[in-house]
Amino acid sequence: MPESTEPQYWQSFKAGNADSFEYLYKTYAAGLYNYGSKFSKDKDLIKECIQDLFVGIWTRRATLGNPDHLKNYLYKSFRHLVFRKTLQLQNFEVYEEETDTYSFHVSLNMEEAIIDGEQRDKVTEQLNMVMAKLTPRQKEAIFLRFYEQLSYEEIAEVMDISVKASYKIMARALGFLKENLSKDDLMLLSLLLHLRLLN
Amino acid sequence: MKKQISAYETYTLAELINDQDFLVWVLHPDEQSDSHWRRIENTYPQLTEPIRQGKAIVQSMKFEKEDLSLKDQNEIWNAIQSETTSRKTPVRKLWYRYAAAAVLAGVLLGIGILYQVNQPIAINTPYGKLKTITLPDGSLVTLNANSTIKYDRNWDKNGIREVWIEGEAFLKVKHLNTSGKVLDRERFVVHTGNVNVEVLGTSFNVNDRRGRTEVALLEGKISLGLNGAVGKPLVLSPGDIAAFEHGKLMVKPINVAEYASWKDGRLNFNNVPVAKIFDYFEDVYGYKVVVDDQEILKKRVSGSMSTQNEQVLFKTLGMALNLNFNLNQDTKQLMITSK
Repeated sequence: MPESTEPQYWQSFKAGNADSFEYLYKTYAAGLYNYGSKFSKDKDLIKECIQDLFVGIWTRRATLGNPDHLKNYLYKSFRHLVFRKTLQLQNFEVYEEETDTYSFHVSLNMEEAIIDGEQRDKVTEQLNMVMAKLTPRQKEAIFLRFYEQLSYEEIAEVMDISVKASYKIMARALGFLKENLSKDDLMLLSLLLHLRLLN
Repeated sequence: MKKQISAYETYTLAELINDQDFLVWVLHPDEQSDSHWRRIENTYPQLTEPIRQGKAIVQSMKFEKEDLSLKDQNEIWNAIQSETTSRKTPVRKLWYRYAAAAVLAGVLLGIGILYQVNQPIAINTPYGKLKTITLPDGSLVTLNANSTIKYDRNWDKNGIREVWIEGEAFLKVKHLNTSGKVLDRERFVVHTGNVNVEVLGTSFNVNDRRGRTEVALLEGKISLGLNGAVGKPLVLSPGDIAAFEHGKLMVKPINVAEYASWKDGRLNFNNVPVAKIFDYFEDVYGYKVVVDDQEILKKRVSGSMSTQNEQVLFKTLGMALNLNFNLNQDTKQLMITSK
């Protein structure tokens, strides 16, 4: 479906068209699920949040604006729901979304084709070990940049931070990766990751 | 600005991957870059293999993806539809979490995995639901409705076992001490708002609601200390219940088995004031109890009833007390009137 028609679907959805609503759901459900699963291993929680998100936008469709980037808007709203639901489950006295108290899990894998099995496993394992040491924010920013291919401006919107902060988070993350991925096999990957993310 | 083609003549695989133009081409190829790299390959055939490998490496770096199965996608969609299309009939939300006991166990496991090593695990129960939790040492906790337990994800092999409880829980602690001196790792401490319960291996009930803490001991031995207090801890014997309220700790014997029967899906009352039972309903089911006559609260009741089904529970109690129980699901009000 060409991207230019998405605003049309959005308008039609806001007018109460059930087919357009379903189209939006089908377009974004899988991506949201993948994004959500980085925050929590609780699959049911993620599914509930997807359900709540779509029920929510349908209920409020008459009062919704016209977001410039629908994807960002949905991801951002979804992120809020995931935090709120996690908070309900945890019931921590102090829970500040703005600190690094949430968790974000990413793991990278490599296709079998290039390096032989043992070396691939080694490289993947080391890379993931270093990734695991990043803060949740850094990991989330990397995921949004690298996987969802969002711009720094879009990352800032989804993560509810300033554009400057999104650059800063990414720079720190990459700096850390570079410092910690400098041995033999990892050299290639480090440079590779670095450049790809800075593009 | 693109480099001269001749600059690539001696490129190695590593240098290729390091090359910004190469990366841009692999990630976002267009006609122009395609032909640019085709020219490089044609000019320097020795680069064909490194280019192929470099491309493969760049393309292979990817995030692991969590797939939403078609079945799940449809299931969520059906739930969304049932909530958005039919307005008149209130459709129950699809609470996946509470679908079945088996699912629940899986979720608990999920919650356990969720947190990083140093972050505490926090499990809470909604109104009207119990959960049984196995702690890292194998000790069992039955969490009553509207309650929370927190504990560290990983228990230090040599450290004290510690949990934090709000609401009500029944604990069956695994006994680790076999003889002589008690080591730290054999100790087990329950923290509540006001009281710390220290145990070796035992089963007991903790209730920390409405600013009052009650600890009832079924078997074994436990000692209680107040938060921040230095004094000698209070030691409980089986059958004792200790209550902490308004800064005082009191001990009296009760029928503890009856007291903790909620964990088995039953409530036992022995000449209990009705007001206390209504407090329990508010705590555990989240209903606001409203009585039309204050005299009702002075009644007392004895007996044993099942909590498996709320409706049945209310009906049974209504019959025993000659009262009508009317539940308004919208306002969460439980109206109790004399017959």
